[in-house]
Amino acid sequence: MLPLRQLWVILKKDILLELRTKEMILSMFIFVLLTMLVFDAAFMADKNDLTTFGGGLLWLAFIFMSFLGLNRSFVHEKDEGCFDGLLLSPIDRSIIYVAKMLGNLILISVVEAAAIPIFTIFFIRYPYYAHWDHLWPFVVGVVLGNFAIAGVGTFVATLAINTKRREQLLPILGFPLLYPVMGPIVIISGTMMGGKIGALAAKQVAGSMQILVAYDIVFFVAMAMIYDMVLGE
Amino acid sequence: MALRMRLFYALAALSAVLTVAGLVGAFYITPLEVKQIGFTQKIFYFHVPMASTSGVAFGVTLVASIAYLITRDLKWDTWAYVGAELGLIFGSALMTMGIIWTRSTWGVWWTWDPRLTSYLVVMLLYGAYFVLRSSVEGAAERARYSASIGILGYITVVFTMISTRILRTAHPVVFSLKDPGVTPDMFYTFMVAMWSAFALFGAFLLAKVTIENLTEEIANLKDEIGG
Repeated sequence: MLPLRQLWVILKKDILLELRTKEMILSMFIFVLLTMLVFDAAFMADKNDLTTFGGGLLWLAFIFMSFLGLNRSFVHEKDEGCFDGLLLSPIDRSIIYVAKMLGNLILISVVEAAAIPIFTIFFIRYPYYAHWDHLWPFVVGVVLGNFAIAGVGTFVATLAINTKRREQLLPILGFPLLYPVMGPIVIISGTMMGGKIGALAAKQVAGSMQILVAYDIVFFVAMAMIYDMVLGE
Repeated sequence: MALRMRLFYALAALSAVLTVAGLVGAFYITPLEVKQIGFTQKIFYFHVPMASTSGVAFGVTLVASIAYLITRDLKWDTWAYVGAELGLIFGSALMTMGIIWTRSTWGVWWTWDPRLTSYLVVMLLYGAYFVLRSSVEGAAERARYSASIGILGYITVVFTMISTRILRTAHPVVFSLKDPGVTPDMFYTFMVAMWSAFALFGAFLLAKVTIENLTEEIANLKDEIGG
């Protein structure tokens, strides 16, 4: 089989499984809504304008939601012996990584696509979605951020599922590894949702984009290369 | 005596001599820095070497992790985690000193300045490295998993430094060797302190790796006699 075809086979399996069970997508969506409820309790959203903190709150919710989903993404593989099947198959380990990572990326993105409009209605007073100049950097930032989260998350989740701590390890290892992009993604989303873009903010957004792209490329290549180290033998 | 032990004693002695020399230099020989921060500038002689040393220690982890990845020899795993451990120890010393300095100079115990933030992330990351190690049973598996984090961790450190520097308004470099006010006394004292920290690190590294190897040997011997 060609690499692309191999990739598609694994990816299709994950998508089909999710479409049939809707196991993750529902709990992730409800979780992200509940997080917003907590934001209201914490900041009294009705009395205070949260636009300033929009970027930070958005990604706080998204990172927790993503980790919730990523933690489960290997449970089926492990508990039902699918891992052994994958490892026995004549598929390159890097392809397994890319396929699993794309599956997680799609899952996270779908939930976010539903959650962002709700978040905007709840907390953001500035109609950033009506301004193309604000909308496209926002979307690009979210996509790049998701790529980083899904990439690192898939790698660490594979490693975590083979240890005795399992779910606990993903946040403990995942947060510090993702730290370099947390600042940039919050700045991009926050600046765009906030609406006022001065010269300094524009410069910061440009710098953030560069860091995000560099991080995504370097980590993606490095993790695909060493993925066979975290898979079972 | 094995070569490694001789080297250990040599480095330990060198470090002791240099540390005393550095302290004498810092407190009795070098002039008081008067232009910017005064007496608290003295921390610079030992604070900066601690930072460089912990950087080198995490570098040892990176190199040993890559070496493990290539050779699959468990001895590299020992080097990797001893490096991380020493990095954490020197890092803790660095942060303790730094926090006291921050309080006395800026009036607060902590600021989210790029350097402080990067270091906190690094400490948490390598703390997590040890959480990971303690949660894997088999030696070969533990080595594989921690080598992967040893490699990714170092990339994260580099990115954290870049990203915090670009995104936070960097505070001015408080004191640097390039300042016109730096006298030769100050420069040599700094260099002595720097090498004292490196020698201490080398001694610790050799001692710890030897201890780990011996522990392993004892465990193997016990297995052999069925103990």
